[in-house]
Amino acid sequence: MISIKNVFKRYKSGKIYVKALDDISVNIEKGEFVFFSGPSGSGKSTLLNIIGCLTRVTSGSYLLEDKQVSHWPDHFLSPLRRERFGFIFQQFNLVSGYSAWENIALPLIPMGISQKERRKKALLILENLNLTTRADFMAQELSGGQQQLVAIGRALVNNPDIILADEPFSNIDARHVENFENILGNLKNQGKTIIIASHFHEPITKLVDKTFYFENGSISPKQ
Amino acid sequence: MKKYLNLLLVAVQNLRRYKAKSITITIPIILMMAVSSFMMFSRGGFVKDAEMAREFLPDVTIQGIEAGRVVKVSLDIIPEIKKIPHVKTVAPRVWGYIPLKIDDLDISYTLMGLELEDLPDNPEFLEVMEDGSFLVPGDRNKVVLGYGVAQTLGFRVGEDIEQALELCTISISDLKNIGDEITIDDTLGNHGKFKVIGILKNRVQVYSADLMLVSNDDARDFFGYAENEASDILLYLDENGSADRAALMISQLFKNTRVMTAKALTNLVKEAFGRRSGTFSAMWLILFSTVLMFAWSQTTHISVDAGTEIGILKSFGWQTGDIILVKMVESLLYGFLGTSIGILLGFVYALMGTPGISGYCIGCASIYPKFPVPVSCDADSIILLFLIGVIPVTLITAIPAWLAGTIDPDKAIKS
Ligand SMILES: Nc1ncnc2c1ncn2[C@@H]1O[C@H](COP(=O)(O)OP(=O)(O)OP(=O)(O)O)[C@@H](O)[C@H]1O
Ligand SMILES: [Mg+2]
Repeated sequence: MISIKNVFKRYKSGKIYVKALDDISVNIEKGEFVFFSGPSGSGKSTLLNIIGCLTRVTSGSYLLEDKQVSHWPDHFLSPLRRERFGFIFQQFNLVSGYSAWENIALPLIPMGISQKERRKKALLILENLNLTTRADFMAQELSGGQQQLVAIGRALVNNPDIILADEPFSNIDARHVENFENILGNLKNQGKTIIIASHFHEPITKLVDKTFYFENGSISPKQ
Repeated sequence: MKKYLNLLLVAVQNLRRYKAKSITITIPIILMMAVSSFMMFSRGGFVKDAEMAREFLPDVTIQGIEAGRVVKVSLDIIPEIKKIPHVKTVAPRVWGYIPLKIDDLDISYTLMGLELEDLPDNPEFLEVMEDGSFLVPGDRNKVVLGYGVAQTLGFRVGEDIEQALELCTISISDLKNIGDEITIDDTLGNHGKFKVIGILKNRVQVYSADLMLVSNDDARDFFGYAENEASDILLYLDENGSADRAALMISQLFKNTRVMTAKALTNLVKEAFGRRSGTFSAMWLILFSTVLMFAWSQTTHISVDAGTEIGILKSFGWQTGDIILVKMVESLLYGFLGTSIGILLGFVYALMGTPGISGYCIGCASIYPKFPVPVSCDADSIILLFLIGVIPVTLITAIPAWLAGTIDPDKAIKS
């Protein structure tokens, strides 16, 4: 379903170019649970961002179901981000000034869904996440674990078939890790494609179908 | 369609979400619009006033001059003037300032005598009356008051009695009516007693607000002029007469006179105002550019936060266009809100009599202290003000939104 071929990614940082990805090729099938591991700065987030269409390849190709999306214009990518992908950021990236339910419902706004309908959908998701009591709390009033749950809820609100999570274990305690693992297990059972980038491996080992080990922007054969 | 409604609501919500930003952006807009609307309203008033009054001005005004100072003019020159071609009417006028003290306020009115027998027989004259009637030949000890004089002296004027009461600090039973007598004792020792028979309209304000019109004979008595003396002589020409030519002839015939045409007089007023309005224009420009720079810095400054937010929204499928739309509606609301409040303040300030700057604005102490600046406020100037207040601010705040909206979401989030 996802086919990454000979992808290079360079970032320009001031006058220097930083090589973030160096000739990467990856294939991911529908329903697979994929794990990107590797040390800090090895390029895991960069590839995750490319797959989620949050940034572009410098060269190489990215095929999503045989469609060459790597060079689509931005306004074609928006519906893709909305309908296919659910992104869970490392820093959760909730929007401050909005409540928990409003954050979950943010992706629904440009779809023309009314406020009443949005709230209904968001509350349903909060119920599944056992967070109904925090529906009207402002984002900044939630604990780290609760923020992550809201971030998960926001990634799921459009019922995407590809879930992308960047470092989901680094900002939460063991209890929440377990909770998150259960949620991921459920999503896997629903047939969703899941890609996680993290340098913690252990918690989700039993769910993982495929692991890619990153080193210096390349995928190392060593597992 | 529903999508746009949603985005509109988001924009409204954002005003509340970014309260501090909303306030810091709106306040300078309010200030800018208050200053410019005040300028516009009062400038419009002056120009309109000057033009309206011109209809009623004599074609040529002749004053006496001695050693460069304006003095009484002798009526002995009238027979000569009447011989000038196209002269229809020659009317000597006796007038002067009468400085008064009312409620500890120094107020200066103009008492103006008219040669009632020679008044042009002009039906338009009746249009200048707010109430009562104008003077007719033979009237003695009767006075027609300017709107402002009437108000300050506590006469029942116009429909707005409430307002008159507020201004005069007297009760409704104390309100004077047409037909009542007034006694004038000015601080120069002149004395007179007149029956009020009419009140002039508010319309020709700069000229007539501080006027008290009486017969020439009454004015002579009041100011102590001799039978063959006047303050100036008014000339009305027939249709074919040229004011400029008549003025030239008179100034050549009589050495000790100063001759002014109606055009010169109105230009004097317009120019006096125009020069001062230049100062305002400069102030306005400075303020305007400040606001633009401020709006710019505000929107770029907060873009540390807003950029992240834009990145997040984009990564969940918001289009760049959606985001720009929201930001533009936000700015539109800032502009609209700021402009509305600003115009209101400017208008109220102009109406209140421009405390603090009215003396400077007109530069003429003889204008009575209440409603010193004529206010004119029409749909055109309000529309123009809204365009000035809303469009540039909207466009300028759209730029940072556009910049943030067009970069890759991952970069925007990290910004
Ligand atoms: N926006 C950017 N501008 C410049 N350089 C960047 C940018 N994003 C990433 N990089 C660089 O690209 C390289 C790969 O970064 P990436 O975030 O993909 O690593 P990572 O494997 O996710 O690391 P971590 O485990 O610390 O999250 C790093 O050297 C980083 O400095
Ligand atoms: Mg990373």
